[in-house]
Amino acid sequence: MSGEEPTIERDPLLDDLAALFAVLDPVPSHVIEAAKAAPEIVSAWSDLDAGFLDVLADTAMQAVPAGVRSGGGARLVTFGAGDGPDGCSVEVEVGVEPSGTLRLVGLVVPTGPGELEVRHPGGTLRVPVDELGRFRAAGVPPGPLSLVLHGIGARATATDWITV
Amino acid sequence: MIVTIKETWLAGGAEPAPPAGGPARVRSARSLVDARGEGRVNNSLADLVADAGRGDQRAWRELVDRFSKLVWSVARSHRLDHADAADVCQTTWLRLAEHLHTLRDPARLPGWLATTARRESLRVIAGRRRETPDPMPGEPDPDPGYGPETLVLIDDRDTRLWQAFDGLSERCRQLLKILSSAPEMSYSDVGSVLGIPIGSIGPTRGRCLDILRRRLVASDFIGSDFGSSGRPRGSMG
Repeated sequence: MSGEEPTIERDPLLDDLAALFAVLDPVPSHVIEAAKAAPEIVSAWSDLDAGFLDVLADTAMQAVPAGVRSGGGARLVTFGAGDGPDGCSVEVEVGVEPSGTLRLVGLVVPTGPGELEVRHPGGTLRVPVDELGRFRAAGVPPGPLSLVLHGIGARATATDWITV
Repeated sequence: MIVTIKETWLAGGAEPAPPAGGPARVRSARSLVDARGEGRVNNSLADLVADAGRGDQRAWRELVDRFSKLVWSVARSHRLDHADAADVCQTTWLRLAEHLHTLRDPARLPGWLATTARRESLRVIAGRRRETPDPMPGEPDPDPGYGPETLVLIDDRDTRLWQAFDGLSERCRQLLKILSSAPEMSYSDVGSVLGIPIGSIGPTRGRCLDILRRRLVASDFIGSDFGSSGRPRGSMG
């Protein structure tokens, strides 16, 4: 147990609280198992030379001006920059379907044709990207999501994971 | 070399003097934790990060065991319900799996995880608000608190600790929840997760613990009934 690491000077009340939370609000086992499976989900699609796009903007995170009703417009997420190909970006509008699943409508730059892969913890789904860069995906489960571009630009490109 | 926060803990400012007889402990909850064997991991964080980054499954699983509590507590301290907190955790770990090999300073991992979980928590909160634009007027935010069915799990002393904690301000609850679940996190990481200037963490921590301790004294968690509850003062910890 001890040995190489020095002891932490820690208020015992914090240990009491940690013990209490471990009983009152433990991390659910399915959450731990999902975390342990993350490398498999990520490496199911793996290309070491792939570019990677960051989340540049997410209208869900923008403050709604006072007096303006939120929820009027669809949520728009923009991916880009990162170490992806120069000028590569994905804009995606996230809408909620009546069943609770999500509908993605978006635009890829540079334009297609090509394919867009929607990655989620339960699997993937692939949709075409047309010659104007447009794509559309339905029935996407809410939760973590990442998009992978195939056949668009010089190399495969993935976006970072985001909760939708 | 693992950089931990011992120095900053020590420099953390006003530490309230423990009450006479030494600080009280929650024994029943603690013994449950000990029985599960938590907290005995001692592999070097740098080695774990390096091994996991190279695809070592065992190292990755150990990282999850070590920090899943931190990620969960950040999500829950933003009052997310179980389903949303689970999504935030999974996104956070997926991001880490994607970025681990680029992490330059392993000591920053707890802060990176907490910051990512906080950002995703805020994203989920904002997203949900967007999906339900017209909440009933005056309807409070759903509180993912702990109902009677959970509270029967703990004894009277634990209940008093919970009640004292639950009565603290939002900021104190968030800070203490994260500090208690993440002893390895630096003050600068705690500060950036909670949006508190680094210089304020120590004093805020001291103040929050002080208020909590006073409430506990008032509720006899610490102090007068200590001997009468069958837990003599000398045998704590």
